[in-house]
Amino acid sequence: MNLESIAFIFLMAPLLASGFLLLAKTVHHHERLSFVIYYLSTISGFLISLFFTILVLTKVNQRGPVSFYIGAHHSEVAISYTFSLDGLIIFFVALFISFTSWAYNDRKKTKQIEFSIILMIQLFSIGATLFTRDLFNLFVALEIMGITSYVLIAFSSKVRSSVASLYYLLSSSAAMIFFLLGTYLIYRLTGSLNYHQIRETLKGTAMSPATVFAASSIIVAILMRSALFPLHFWLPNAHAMAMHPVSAILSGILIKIPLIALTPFVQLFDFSQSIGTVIKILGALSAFFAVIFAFCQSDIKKLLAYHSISQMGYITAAWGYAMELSLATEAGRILYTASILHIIFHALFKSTLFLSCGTIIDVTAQRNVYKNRNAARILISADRKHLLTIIAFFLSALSITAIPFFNGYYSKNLITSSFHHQWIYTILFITGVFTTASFLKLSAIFFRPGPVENTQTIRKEKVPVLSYVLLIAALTVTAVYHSPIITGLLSSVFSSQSDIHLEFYESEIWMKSVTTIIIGTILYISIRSRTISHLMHLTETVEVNLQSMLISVILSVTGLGIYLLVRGVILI
Amino acid sequence: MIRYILLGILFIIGMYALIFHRSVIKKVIALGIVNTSVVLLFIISGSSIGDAPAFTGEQGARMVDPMVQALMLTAIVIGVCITSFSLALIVHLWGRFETFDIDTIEKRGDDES
Amino acid sequence: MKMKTAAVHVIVIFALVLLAGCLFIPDDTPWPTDVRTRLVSDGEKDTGAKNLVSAIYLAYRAFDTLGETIVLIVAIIGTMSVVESVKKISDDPTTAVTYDFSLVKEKRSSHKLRTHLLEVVTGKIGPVVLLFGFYVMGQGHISPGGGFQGGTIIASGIMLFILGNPYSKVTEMRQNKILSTIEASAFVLFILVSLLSILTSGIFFSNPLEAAGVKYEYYIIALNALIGLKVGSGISLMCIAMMSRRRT
Repeated sequence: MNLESIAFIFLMAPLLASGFLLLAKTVHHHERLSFVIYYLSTISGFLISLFFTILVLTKVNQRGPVSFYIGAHHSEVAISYTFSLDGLIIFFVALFISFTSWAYNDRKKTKQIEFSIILMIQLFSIGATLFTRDLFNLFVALEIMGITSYVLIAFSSKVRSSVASLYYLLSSSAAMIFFLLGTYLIYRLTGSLNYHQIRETLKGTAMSPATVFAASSIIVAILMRSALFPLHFWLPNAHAMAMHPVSAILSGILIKIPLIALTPFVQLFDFSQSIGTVIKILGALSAFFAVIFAFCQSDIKKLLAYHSISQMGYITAAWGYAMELSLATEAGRILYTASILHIIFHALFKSTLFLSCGTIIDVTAQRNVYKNRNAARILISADRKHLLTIIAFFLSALSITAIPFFNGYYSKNLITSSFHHQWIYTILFITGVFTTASFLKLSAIFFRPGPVENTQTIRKEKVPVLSYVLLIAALTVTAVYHSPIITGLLSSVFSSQSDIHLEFYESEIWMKSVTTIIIGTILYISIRSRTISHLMHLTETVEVNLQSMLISVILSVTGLGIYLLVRGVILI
Repeated sequence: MIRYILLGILFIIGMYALIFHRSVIKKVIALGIVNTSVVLLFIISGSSIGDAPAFTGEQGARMVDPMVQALMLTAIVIGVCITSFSLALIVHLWGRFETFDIDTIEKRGDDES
Repeated sequence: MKMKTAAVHVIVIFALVLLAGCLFIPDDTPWPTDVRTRLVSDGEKDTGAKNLVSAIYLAYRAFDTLGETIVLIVAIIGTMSVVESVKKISDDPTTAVTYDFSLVKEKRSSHKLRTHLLEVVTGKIGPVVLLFGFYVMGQGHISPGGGFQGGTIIASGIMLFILGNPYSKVTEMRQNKILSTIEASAFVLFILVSLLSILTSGIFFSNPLEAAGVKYEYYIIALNALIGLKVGSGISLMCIAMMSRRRT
């Protein structure tokens, strides 16, 4: 079979599995039958998808990206797909994270079949978003991704999660209206929805308000899903209130997908470099502001959710800078690789954090960072296998704070060192300090001596051994083999054989890490002072209402459009 | 031209209500209005090149653009799905708070946790 | 405080007017006609569909339509599960509120909206509407209509049936089971049909039986029928879930 026909199997396998799961749901009164269909279809869905992803990955690695139209009629009306290596790698990571989160959830829990159906459909939408090169198909894929996440968030039938889901739904639908309007403008200007033809038509045309506003509405709608700084308000509640495996998937993989989908779109425009500049600055700002909010949170999962925004800030800053320099340059390629590397590593450690903290919250029945005490003892006394939970937590906490020899260290330093001698470097340094401090604060739940555990509050939870073992293994492997991964990414994504010199243990970088840790520790100790804890409480209680979320969407579209227009006029 | 201006006004009304109206149900209705304004924009623009229905036959050269109609078919169904799910969420909130007022929901939702 | 809200209103309206001006008002570039020209010359030859809208959404861009059905299926799962969880909350008699448009016969006398007139009329209209739905679904390639339109008409036919027929909890359960089985199997079949062509002709999402001499037209009819069944059963399931909410 040729590559064109097998390429779609890994996308469709999860979808087919979800169809069979739907059938399993209809026969739920036959306990045995529905059990068999449930496990058989989910696991074979994952395995078939994994097998064909790897197959396509190796083929694409040899031959370069494959593009083709869907269906028998190869024309401008049809939908075109491109299977590129960066997308395939991210899809592989998405499969891994989805599988571990699925394995984390217990079959006995309510709504497990529904959860699996939606999870499988979401995998399909992730693939479609990554590989499509058609504007309207991207709209459909983003809408599937959106509605699956609203439903997943609302699954934890708490009222707070329904509110969070509704807010996310309304603000993101408002953004998708702008996406549709942008599609309209592009179709009006070029008569096509296909990226290749749009690029051919737009090349060299004068910059008009129509092109600029088309670009800005679509970019804002996509970045909304990636929770970039002024558009991130929906995220903390949505990710914190969802069930634990759902938070792991949403924070771990889902918020990164739109950014990768944006890469080919931004390159359609002649002014892609100005767009890159804006996104770079917003990324740095979002890394900075979100980490301050994260540091002030008292709810464990909300703290982690804010850290997701902050780490996404790193990724978008690197991505924006790569677009600013353009992918044709060597520095731009390294930055793009750095952002993909941080996407992969962050997916691993953030989902581990969400899962392990979820276990801790379930066992100790305490979501508050300050009130949760002596968690290590409680966990071990509940079940000896919880040692895995503790190991997983600390591995990922050390990775996110960029301690040497853990995977976050490599990806973060690859990003920050590219910003040397810029103001963004300082901002990212401060972000690192706050990250250290807030994870010291979070880790304290294990050691801070508490009252002797009263056995009522300890809940016996089954330890999801499989997902922890997989995640710990992945974290270790990526930390040990960081340099082949980086050079492999660089050479295969861009098929450039440049041997760049990566030195992570220069004295300067060492010094930076040590200073970050020291200042972070001082900052952590300082929260005992009354003024600072009062300030932190004030920051924590800042709640953003729906109105501001919607206004931020509209003002972002307008602002980005006006900025690009003004900049275009100045450059001429 | 006047049609486009009217559609623009429809868009502004919908967006304004979506942002500032306090009832969640009316916010969902406003979302529907905005969605409709965009769908109409596509359809009206597509019909600026012809006036015959999108069927093959002798009037081929006077046909409206069939592409936008097919796209909007998809967009409408997606809009309906979003509306239905948001209404289900609102039913959930009503079952708990017995109000549609967004400020009250916000305040009481915070108290609850 | 009032000044601040007024300022917010002014800024937002200003931004909205600006956006509406830039996005809605066309400049003097004419609307592109390339797609139309191509479809008029090749559309019917390629797909066998006289209705060019059907030709686009079931042949050229069938993948979008797959996405659309997926959105629908997710929305149905989500709506049902959320509505169900509300039911559980209202099981608690102290907080329970009855919002029912009840379908249970015993409760009907208490409900003002369920009159005999309604029952008689809907019971007679139901089958006609259902038949019309199947017609729209099956003729989608040569006349206005198609799977989605036909499916929603079928769903309204089913709803009319339900409103106009003696009804009890047992039949409701059975109906739900039949409908959800139809929905799930239509969805699975739709995906399988799209994948089948990989085995026969090596092309994803095209007519799988082209080599056997089956015209593309029949492929479109099959897709329309599957979509129609899926949409019809899905939407009626959703309506039943919302209507039959009651305190048990």
